[in-house]
Amino acid sequence: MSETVLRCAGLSKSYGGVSAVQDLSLDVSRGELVVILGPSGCGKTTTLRMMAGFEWPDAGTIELSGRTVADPQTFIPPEKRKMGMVFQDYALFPHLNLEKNIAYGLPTVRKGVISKNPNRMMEHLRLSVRVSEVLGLVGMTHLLKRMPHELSGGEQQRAALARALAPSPLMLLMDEPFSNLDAKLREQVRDDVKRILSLTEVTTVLVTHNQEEALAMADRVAVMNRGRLEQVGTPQMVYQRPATTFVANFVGMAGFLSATYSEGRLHTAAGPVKRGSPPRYPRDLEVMARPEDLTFDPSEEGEGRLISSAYHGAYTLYTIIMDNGEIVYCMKPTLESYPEGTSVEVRFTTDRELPCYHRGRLV
Amino acid sequence: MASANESGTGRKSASARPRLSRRAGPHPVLLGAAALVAVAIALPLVYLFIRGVGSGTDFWELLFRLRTLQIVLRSALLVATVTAACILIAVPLAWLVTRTDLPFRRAWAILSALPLVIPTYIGAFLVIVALGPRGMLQQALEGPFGIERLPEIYGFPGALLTLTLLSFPYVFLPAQAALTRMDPSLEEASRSLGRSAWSTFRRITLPLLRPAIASGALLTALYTLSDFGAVSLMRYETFTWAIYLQYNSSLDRILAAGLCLVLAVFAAGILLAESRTRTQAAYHRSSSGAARPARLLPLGPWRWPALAFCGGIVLFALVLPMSVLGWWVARGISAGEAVPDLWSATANSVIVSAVAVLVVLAASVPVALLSIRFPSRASSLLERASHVGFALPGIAVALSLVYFGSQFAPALYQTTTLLVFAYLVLFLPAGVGALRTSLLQISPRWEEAGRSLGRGPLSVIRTIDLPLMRPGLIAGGSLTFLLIMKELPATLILGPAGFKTLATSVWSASSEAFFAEAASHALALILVSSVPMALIIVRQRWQSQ
Repeated sequence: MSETVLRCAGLSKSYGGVSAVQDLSLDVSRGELVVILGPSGCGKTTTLRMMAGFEWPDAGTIELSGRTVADPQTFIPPEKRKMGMVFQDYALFPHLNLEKNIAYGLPTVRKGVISKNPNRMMEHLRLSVRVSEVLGLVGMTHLLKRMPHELSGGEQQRAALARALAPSPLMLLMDEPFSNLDAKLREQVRDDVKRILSLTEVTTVLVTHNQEEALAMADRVAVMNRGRLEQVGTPQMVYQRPATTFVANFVGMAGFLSATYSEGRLHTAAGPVKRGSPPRYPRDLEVMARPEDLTFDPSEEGEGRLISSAYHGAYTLYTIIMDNGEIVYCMKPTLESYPEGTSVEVRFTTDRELPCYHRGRLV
Repeated sequence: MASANESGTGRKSASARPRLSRRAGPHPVLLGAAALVAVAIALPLVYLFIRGVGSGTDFWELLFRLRTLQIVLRSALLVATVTAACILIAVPLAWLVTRTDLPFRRAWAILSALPLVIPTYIGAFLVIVALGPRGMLQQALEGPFGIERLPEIYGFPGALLTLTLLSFPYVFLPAQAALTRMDPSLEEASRSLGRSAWSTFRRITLPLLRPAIASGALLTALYTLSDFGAVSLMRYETFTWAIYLQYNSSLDRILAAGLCLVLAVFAAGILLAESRTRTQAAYHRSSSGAARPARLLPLGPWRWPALAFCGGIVLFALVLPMSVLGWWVARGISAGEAVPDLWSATANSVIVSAVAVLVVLAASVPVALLSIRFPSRASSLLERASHVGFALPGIAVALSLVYFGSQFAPALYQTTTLLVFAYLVLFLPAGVGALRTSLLQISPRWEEAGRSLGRGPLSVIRTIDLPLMRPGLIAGGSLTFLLIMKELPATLILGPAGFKTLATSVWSASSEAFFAEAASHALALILVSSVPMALIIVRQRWQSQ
């Protein structure tokens, strides 16, 4: 992965004085799958629509394969950008059958007198070959003549993907592609889509509010909040070393323990954690602990108390309030159960370094 | 870093640039077409205003003459009484057919909408035939009872009766739709809180119905104010009839123009009053998409008076007019009367209406697209401008075109082209309304998908919007066809000399008491103009099954 397909620099967009996206910069390399993750209203869809050419950024530039497609002076309309788009509600044309939906983005062949003109016959042949090629890719060749409303949710999803891929776009944009599917189907369609994307090696930007989806699919995750990018990194980085407390809370569950640093360790209510270099700020430090980083033992003298438990089958997730009012989460295999109100002694299960924050930022 | 600097300058130049954005902005072709429509519609009316107001003392003298005041009062009286009478008939009728176990309620609902296809000049002609001096009723009573005079039907009573019987569906249809949509749990909550059926209707149902009634009343009021057929045949001198007399009898057309202006102000006043109530009405709007239909109220013995009420209305508004028409036609045929020129009038009507429908639809597409897809101050102004015809009575539009045409386009004056243009001004709102409704159901995502698949904006309109708008185009086209076929004052004034349509033939034959001739033209008019609407209704029924 080296060549940059999409480069966004300093993108800003506001609507009637309300800022939707602020100073966003993001590069996407050839063949990469970048997932923009964020809560609703964070500006992720606006970002995607600026890339696609449905919105004109107020500031900043967008380059596609080295060509500037948008900056304050330039605006290349969507039909000239060669970007495929999969919409949240799929936007399959309701008056065209599957075949015609797929062929919509391909060069049109005039009807009639096909047989007389060998060139036109070749064009026509090429068109139908391409249609069946992409339909084969998504495994829907047998549904060629179906109308969109006759397809199931998952099929509509794949049809929208096939339609976007048919003109061989420079890259693919997907807006919340799985949010209209029910939970069981979603996982399967997600796997299908991931397989198809890696098969075609198409560069993709996908937008979602579902952190599980982002972690499972992305090569890199870009977490957005209030119009700004909070962190861009691999799923592992985003989960294990969130750049901000917002990212920590949004991607997975996170408990925070106030800490003081001394002699290579951060001291918290749940005991010490390793810390290589002294943090830049000596005060206002918080250590983030994922549920799997903590465990507990019942103990009368413990400084934590169980306030709720959620049974997940193989494991149980406990919420613990510490004496100083901090809340942490702890995941334990369901071997025995502990009633709410149990006093517990909380400790770390890991001797890895855990991320530490000063006023919301990683230090 | 350089990028921070760049984004800084970028932001600056973005705010400095006038937002005539090339961005998601409309295609110049679309914009140009819509602007052309707006200018074309506004010009003659603006001209009328300038000419009228700028014509000096005559104009102001006219406005403050006693006769003008009388015309205003007569028009106001007619508008108020017809609107009130329509509400009194339509609301109970709508409630009966939607909320009670009235026998045959679906049939009553359909029959109650049908009087809309009868033009007022046909209705007035039939009232005169039936109830006028030496009319059918009087002749029937003369033999056995020796009655030689009936109460005078000409003037206010005749106009009120005709207009009420023919325009109550304007209130009935929205009221019926609102009652069907209304969440029944609101009424059930009222009943469960101890209110009787009547108290629930008064305190819950009626307030919730208010927006629907108000919009229906607006239509009725504007329709009554702009009506020419009924008041001219009934010789009741309201604005439209006075304007026509003034225009026909005197060479000084300033006076007619002045009356047109007053009429336009009157209509604008009605619109303004309605929009005032509408801001409040949004608060009262009933929740949409009720999950289940309301439980029907058992009428018990009350069903007999209810049936008599529905039957009476349908009898007077639909059955009697149609039978009288049929009887006159049959009498004419059996008397061996030749039916002159029915074909040429029918052909004229159909051809000019069909051409006008195509023009109206072609003009509606850019206006509807622009107002829905690119909401801005300019596009909403454009959409409002397209409603000029809705607020302005046909006679005012016709006269403004007479002045404008004779002054600036003498080549077009007294041609069907100018007539078609008048239809465009008058019925553009109907076309735009129908297209807006169907365009609202087309997701902008489809257009965006088309764009991202490499099609330009005009290609997307052609391959996606127009095919998806087809039902709306057909429905809007049929409605417009019906309205244009019925139109009388503009056709009378702007039609080329010797150009006869079904509408003008009915009017001239019935004002000269050639009843059999008028009846055959009237029957042809009603049948031909209803065909497209009937086809749509049949198709919808067929598709929904």
